[in-house]
Amino acid sequence: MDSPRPRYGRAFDLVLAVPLAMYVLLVAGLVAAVFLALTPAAIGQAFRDADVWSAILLSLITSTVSTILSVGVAIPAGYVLSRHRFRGRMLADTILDLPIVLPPLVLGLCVLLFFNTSVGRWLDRGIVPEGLFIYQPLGIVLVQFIVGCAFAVRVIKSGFDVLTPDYEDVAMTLGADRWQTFLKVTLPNVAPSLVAGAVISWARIFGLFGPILLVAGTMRGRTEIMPTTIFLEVSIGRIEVALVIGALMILISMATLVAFKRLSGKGYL
Amino acid sequence: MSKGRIIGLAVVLALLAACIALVLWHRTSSKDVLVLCGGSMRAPMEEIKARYAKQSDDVILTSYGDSAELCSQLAETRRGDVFICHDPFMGWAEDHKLVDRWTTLAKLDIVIVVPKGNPKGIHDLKDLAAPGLRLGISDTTYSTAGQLVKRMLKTLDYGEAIRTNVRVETKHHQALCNDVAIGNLDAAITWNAVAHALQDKLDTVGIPRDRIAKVDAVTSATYKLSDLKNIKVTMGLTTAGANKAAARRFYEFAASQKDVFPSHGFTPAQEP
Repeated sequence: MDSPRPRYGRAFDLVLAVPLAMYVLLVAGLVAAVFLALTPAAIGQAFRDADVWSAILLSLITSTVSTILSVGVAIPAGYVLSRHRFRGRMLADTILDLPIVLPPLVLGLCVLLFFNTSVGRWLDRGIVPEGLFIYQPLGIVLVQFIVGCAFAVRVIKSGFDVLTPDYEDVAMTLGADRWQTFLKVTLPNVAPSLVAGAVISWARIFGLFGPILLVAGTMRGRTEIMPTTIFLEVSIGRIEVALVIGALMILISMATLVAFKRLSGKGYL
Repeated sequence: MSKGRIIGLAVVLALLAACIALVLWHRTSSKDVLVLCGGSMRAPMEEIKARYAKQSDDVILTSYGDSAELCSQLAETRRGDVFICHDPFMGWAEDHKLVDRWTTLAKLDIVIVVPKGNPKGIHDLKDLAAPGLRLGISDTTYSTAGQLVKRMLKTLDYGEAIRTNVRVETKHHQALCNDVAIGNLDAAITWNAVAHALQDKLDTVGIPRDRIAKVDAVTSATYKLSDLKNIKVTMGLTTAGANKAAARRFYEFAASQKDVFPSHGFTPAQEP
């Protein structure tokens, strides 16, 4: 049983809690403003539209796939960057940060320009004549992966940095090979960072819009995702329907974040 | 097989299935007609598409966006069968040999938008010079409407007084209308068609054409000169289109629907 907290220092705790309370109230206020602006008519109008359901489903599928891919790449990438010192390591580390710092529209333009090169044209239309990425749903996954993986690498690498290599060394002296050590010792110890990386990656890409608009377009029923729906609805003055989609994105985000927190047990931060 | 390996295998298989589903998901095929359309023209285009669907099996896909962004997409991807935009972008597309031919669907005029009921009593451009008025205009560098307003204000005696009241300049016309509708601004100058979409929340005050000098203006560093007195909404057949026959059918149909754009607040292409 925990021993009771000492009575002294309460003032210290309260003072530190003030910025937390202010920020929580600010965000909660913004969220509440969205929900208070909803009307039953707008909710009905939004959910009667089959294209809206299609956008919701496509958003969930692409962001989940992109997150899994991002974490799948971020784990080995983060481990290598953390454990090894090699020529070009700083350059590689810096390049991995570029998708984080680049403005999203610039990123979208970069993807477009790449697919206009001979290599890019072959990758896009060499296998499938109609194209694999440009104006296609896989283009959404590609853009989301480029952005999401950068965030995931950053967070997961931090987890590997904090874990002392001694655990791995001891495991190998006891007879485990590199794969066994990595899977049974290293990964379980950095599990909170893996979950944090997945959360931050998913959170970033779920609302991504600008570069996706450039690469995959905004075709209803084909490449329209929830952020795109908001843009399209606002473009014709249907603010109320856009707010419904926005509220739905907030609810989905909250549910996903709570699920991730439960998965990691004690909390991912 | 251990539990961890089963879970890992399940995740990989689920990922593979999702990727295959995405590859097969409502893919854009070469038989589809891809229309790249400026966001402001969405409402009339959806109506034209609905009418066309009643008489043709051609699949018309529309990708909406900012006209400038669509230009970049068209130039870089060389995809798209029909391109719909407002001035000056069709001129740019023509210069870069991205379109074969084009036609005018409608015109755009600038109007003053005010909240429903016109609480500030704005009936003329001159009323925008009232001290303390909160005014929004389009970006005077990157927006055609903004370029038009900038030049118009320079020719007016009270133009400087109006300029003093400008609280926001933005490329996003819809955002200007929203700001007026929710009370962040007292008035804004924007396109008539954009204002029409929020007609239940906004009133509009016309700006006489004679206030707008016939100016051939460069509306950005790279785009062509355009006549700011007659801003056109244009539709072009692209040179890169994969499905030219179907694109031409849709192009000719859309051009024939002369009542659609005016019903959505645009100025008719051929004014009486």
